Amino acid sequence: MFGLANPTKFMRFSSILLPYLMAITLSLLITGMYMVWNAPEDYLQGPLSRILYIHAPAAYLAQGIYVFMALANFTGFIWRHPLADMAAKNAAPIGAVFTALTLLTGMMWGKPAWGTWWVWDARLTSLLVLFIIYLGYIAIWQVIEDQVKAARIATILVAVGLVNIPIIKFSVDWWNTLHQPASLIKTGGSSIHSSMLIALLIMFAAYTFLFVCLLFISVRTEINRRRARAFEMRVLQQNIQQVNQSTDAALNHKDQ
Amino acid sequence: MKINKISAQQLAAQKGERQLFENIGFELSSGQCLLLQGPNGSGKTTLLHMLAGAEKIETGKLEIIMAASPEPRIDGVFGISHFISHQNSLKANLTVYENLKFWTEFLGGEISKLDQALSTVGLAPMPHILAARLSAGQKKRLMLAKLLTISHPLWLLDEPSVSLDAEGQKLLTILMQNHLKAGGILIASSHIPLGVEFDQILSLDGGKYLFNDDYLLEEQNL
Amino acid sequence: MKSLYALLKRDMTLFFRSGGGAGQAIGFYLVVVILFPFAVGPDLNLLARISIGILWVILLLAILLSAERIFADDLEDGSLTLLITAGPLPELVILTKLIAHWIAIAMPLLLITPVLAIMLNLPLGGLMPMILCMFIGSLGLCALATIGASILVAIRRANQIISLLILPLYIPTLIFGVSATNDLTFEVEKPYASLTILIAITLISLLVAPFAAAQAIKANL
Repeated sequence: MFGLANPTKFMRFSSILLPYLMAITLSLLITGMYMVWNAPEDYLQGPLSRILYIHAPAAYLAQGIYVFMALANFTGFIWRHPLADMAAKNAAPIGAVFTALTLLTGMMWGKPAWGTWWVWDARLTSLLVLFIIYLGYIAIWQVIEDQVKAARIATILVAVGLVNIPIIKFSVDWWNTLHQPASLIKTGGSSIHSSMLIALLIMFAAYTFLFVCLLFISVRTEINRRRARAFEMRVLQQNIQQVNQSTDAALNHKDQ
Repeated sequence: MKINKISAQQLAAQKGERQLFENIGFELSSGQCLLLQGPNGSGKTTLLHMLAGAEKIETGKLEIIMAASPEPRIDGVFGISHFISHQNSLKANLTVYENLKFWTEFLGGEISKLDQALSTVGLAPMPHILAARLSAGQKKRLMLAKLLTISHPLWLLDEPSVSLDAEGQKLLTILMQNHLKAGGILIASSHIPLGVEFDQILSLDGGKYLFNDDYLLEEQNL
Repeated sequence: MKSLYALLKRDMTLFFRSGGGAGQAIGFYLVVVILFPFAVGPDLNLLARISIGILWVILLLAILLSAERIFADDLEDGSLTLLITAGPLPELVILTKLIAHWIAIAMPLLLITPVLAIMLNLPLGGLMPMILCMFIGSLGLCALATIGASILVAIRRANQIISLLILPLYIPTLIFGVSATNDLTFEVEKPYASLTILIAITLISLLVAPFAAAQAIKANL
């Protein structure tokens, strides 16, 4: 794993791996979707229950990516591992998108099930707070120009978040029970049909691989961008030297 | 546009309890240049600010006679002068090209001269780099490009050589020489030689305190 | 005109480029809207009743908090001196900067108002009136904020004082903004009375602000 610290090695390694990862992701997604399509409907909710297969894996990634981000940031902080910080940075927007997807599918499910797009239910609210934490984290990387400094601040932020997220979750639960939530329909039965379970598991796997693919692509783009920027600065420096020489020539010409 | 003559009489400035300078005057005609000298805090920047119109002239007067008409210009220096100071007036989040383009458009310069100006100062190959990524010297070069895209007859330069490398200073010298040769007027403050022979030199001595309580100084043994 | 257009374009670019104000503005609205249910409880009926007021207060705060940005950056890098002394009339320059700030701060809010409205359970008929009244009111609020920002040029870095100076001036806009929104939403007898006054207040602010701000800045460059 530590061989990956070197960006050049990572580029080579990931370019070999990426096509396979994409193939696995695609086949998992297609299989999963097919199974979902053929899975029996929930007798209470009808076709609405199918949204669960999109919603639940997204919710798992929404939280999982945050933990991944924290681990990556700590790795970067402790072992001065530039690629780890880059992984954390690029995981954040992906995490935010999955969180948004969870929220949106939740709302789409909520409209027919609860009769309203949004309720301040404990789980939805916690997820919304997580979304905002993602946004703040992304903003830090964008606002701080120096990437090394940004990584340090991001690590602090993610550490504080890691301690705070359980507290937030707890307080939101407490707030919600305190306020006697609106009458909700209980979601899902206690027993899940086995074919549904398999479909759900495949979707979880598909999402996980999708995340890895996206992360690889994103980190590769970032490395290429940094290379391009370094190249730009070098060209600029060389050009100034050339112009300097011609300035010199012009000045000497005048002196004579 | 060409200035025939610019003259200042009895300019004075005050900052807090200090009289920075008083009774300052000079007269420059087309193609001439003036050097402002003096220790830190003697009011060189303030004087340049006054000439640029950024600070109000409370006492004394500034008269500008354009080549086109013998009457003094009503607008003063408005719209005919460049003011370059230690503040770079560049936006870190805009690219090199965008920064120069904005000031050129805003100050009524010629967009067509933009590429030429950038290559003269050595920033041509990477016009889309964000200004934030330039070094201090490279930023200064970008500011000098502004002098080329907008042709104003009066240049007010406050320590223009600061943060330029040796080559950058030579570039500055060439720009100033060309400006003077074209009949422009130049007023600069600098503590190092700029490579231009100045026609006039104005020394600011550091002024005096308005409430000069000598006994306080004596008490402190100063 | 060309100069002013260039200035508008530059300010907009700066706002919408990464690290600029637009993303932060949207984030701010979202965060503050979330705070209200935590404070008053998740009861959707209660939220529906106070949603119009909440959205107006958030708009007002967002404009107030971002006000110092109108001139601060330009003051810091010396651009302000050139903008005021070397270009078109200072009043026009300030009007242009005011409009750029308005587009950058108020437009994102108007864009996500539908989302916020869902979260606060705003009555569906209230959405269009809300957006219309905010569109007008926010322009007046930005004009007043510009006056505050111009005073900051003189006292530098004392930005707490801006709330003290500007908030009292915001009261009329708040009163008539909320009542215009309510009137249009619940279709009272004369639905346009408050709206007319809101427009009048905005126009007056827009007229006064550039002159006041230009004087304040010129005196303190």
